[in-house]
Amino acid sequence: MSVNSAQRLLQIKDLTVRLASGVVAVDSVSFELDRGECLALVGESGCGKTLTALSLLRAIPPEAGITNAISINLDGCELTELSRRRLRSVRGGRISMIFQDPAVALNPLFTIGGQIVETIRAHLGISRAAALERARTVLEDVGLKDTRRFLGLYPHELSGGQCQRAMIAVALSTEPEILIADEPTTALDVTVQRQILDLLIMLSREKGLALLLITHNLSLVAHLADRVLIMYAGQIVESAAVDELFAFPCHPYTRALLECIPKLDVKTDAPATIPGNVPAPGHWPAGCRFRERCAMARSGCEKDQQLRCLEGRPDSEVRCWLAAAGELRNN
Amino acid sequence: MKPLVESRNLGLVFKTGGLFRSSSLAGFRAVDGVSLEIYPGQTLALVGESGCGKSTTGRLLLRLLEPSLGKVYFDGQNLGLLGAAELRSMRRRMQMIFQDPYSSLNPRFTVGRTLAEPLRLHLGLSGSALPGRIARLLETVGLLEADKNRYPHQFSGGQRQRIAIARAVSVSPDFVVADEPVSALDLSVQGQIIRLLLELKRTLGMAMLFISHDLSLVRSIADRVAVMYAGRLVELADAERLFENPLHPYTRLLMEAVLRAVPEKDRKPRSLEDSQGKATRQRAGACDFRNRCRMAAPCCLEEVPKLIEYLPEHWVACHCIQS
Repeated sequence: MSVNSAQRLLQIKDLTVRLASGVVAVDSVSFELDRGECLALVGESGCGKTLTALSLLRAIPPEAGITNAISINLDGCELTELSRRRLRSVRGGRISMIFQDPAVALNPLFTIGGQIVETIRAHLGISRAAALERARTVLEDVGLKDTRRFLGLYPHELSGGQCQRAMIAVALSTEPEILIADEPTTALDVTVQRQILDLLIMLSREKGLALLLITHNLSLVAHLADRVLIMYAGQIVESAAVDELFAFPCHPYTRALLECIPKLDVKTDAPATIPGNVPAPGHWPAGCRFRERCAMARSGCEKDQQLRCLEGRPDSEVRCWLAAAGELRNN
Repeated sequence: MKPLVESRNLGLVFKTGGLFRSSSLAGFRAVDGVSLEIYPGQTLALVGESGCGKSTTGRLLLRLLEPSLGKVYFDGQNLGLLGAAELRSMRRRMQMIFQDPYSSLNPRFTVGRTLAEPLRLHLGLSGSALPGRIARLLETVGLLEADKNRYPHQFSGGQRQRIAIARAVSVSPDFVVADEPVSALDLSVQGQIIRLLLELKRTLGMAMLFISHDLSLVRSIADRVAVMYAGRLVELADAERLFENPLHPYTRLLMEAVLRAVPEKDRKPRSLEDSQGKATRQRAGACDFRNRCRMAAPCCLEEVPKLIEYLPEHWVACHCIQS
């Protein structure tokens, strides 16, 4: 689906993160995010998903790693050229982020209301009374209806799901255009996962918030995302619209991730797995980085792999020469 | 077959309302009237949401916590009557695996030292007998012998959980409590750990209590499943019976909450309410699930439903099913 430039909100070209030790952890990642769209960045721990998100906010401290990009463009504003001060207003202002573990992300010494009001005042520069009014509105938006009570509570007085809602409220309080959600449901009970999912669907569908969803869980992606980027060892290995990805997964890594989803409806003797681990940055094999764990690997995979378009699917790309040549179609 | 682990009317009350005021049985009932059996070599999955008392039940079964009510029998012996020395020797036969492999391993011990400790304490091994034993253990859980000289921070989450499993099985226990052993891991690694547990169960013949909040994980590992809500068991059955025919409305709710990996065309939020807030405080003489229950009837306010054998080998505690 081609989009006119008015809808494009964020465009990232060739983002690379080099850690302090000198090894590359995110390798030339490029993608776009449109207004109101939910883009999922999917892969196992250690693939570079979170680093990608942090680096596009330039939130990686210089002593930990160096971010390089040809361009990080937020609606015409080039983030790579902003001063630290200007950048601070983007971070947490126009682009907000929520994390996996709300109990760690919220400050245990401040009430929920205090944390929201502080965030609003830092970014929007409005009076305390107006900020309090706005805090009530966002708490209502995230489903914590008894706003008077929740404003005065401390994080430890909330359940896991309520904490996650409170963190989303802090993130939303500055009227961001983009919300980065890093494993927003992973630490929660299945029943609460469903509720947070509903909340994110509401924010994306009804409020038109653009979402960058970072997760290893493809079931969540199926319910929330419009487009999916599969990431492995610092690279994007497949990109496709959500329907196409689930109907015609191409890269062997994508297929393996789909296989790993536990099935409730059928009894399986043992759950599917992907053998081995994601190689750490600096230990990536030459050529296809997945080949050591890939059941389809054959000679030819040791050559460097480029993202290639797929025949008849102009909006999908895959970094596997076998899949691009149609060799894996019936497996 | 005689059960290996058996609990009778097990309960734990946390005192509330001040130091001097509370009598021993007033307060918050974290676990209430739990009776279950675990047979040798079998896996019982204990499923429920955070705070329902499933971890507490696991700890009570190992007598890591002292029950306020009821008894636990391990291999026919009442654990509550054992003295400190007897209990310590009994501990060899029952082990635990924790959810978070980042905090359950001592960061200042090498893997070798972590594994040597239970071997020394429980089996009396020392000196030259240890290295060979440790090497075999590491191999059993899919790690390398050379890994014994490394520290926990040098491993990934899945590998750390393998170390924790190696430590638990090192003393050949008859019974292991695995408390959410894969919840902190990636899906691809969850499968690896479940496979490892299945293999160990087969080769070592150990019984297991597998605690989880996710029913979809339980299906491949459990022989029987117990569902817990607000400290009480609400359904108990063979895994196949439970998955084919869930009876309790709470079990059904847990099943519906599992996301299917199928893209949804029409995406509408179902409900924005925080339903955990609706989980009411316990009230004597009423079903705790009534406020979240689609089938709730007036009788649910009048009496706590008892766990009864509604179908053969299929127990459920719900007025609306039973009537």
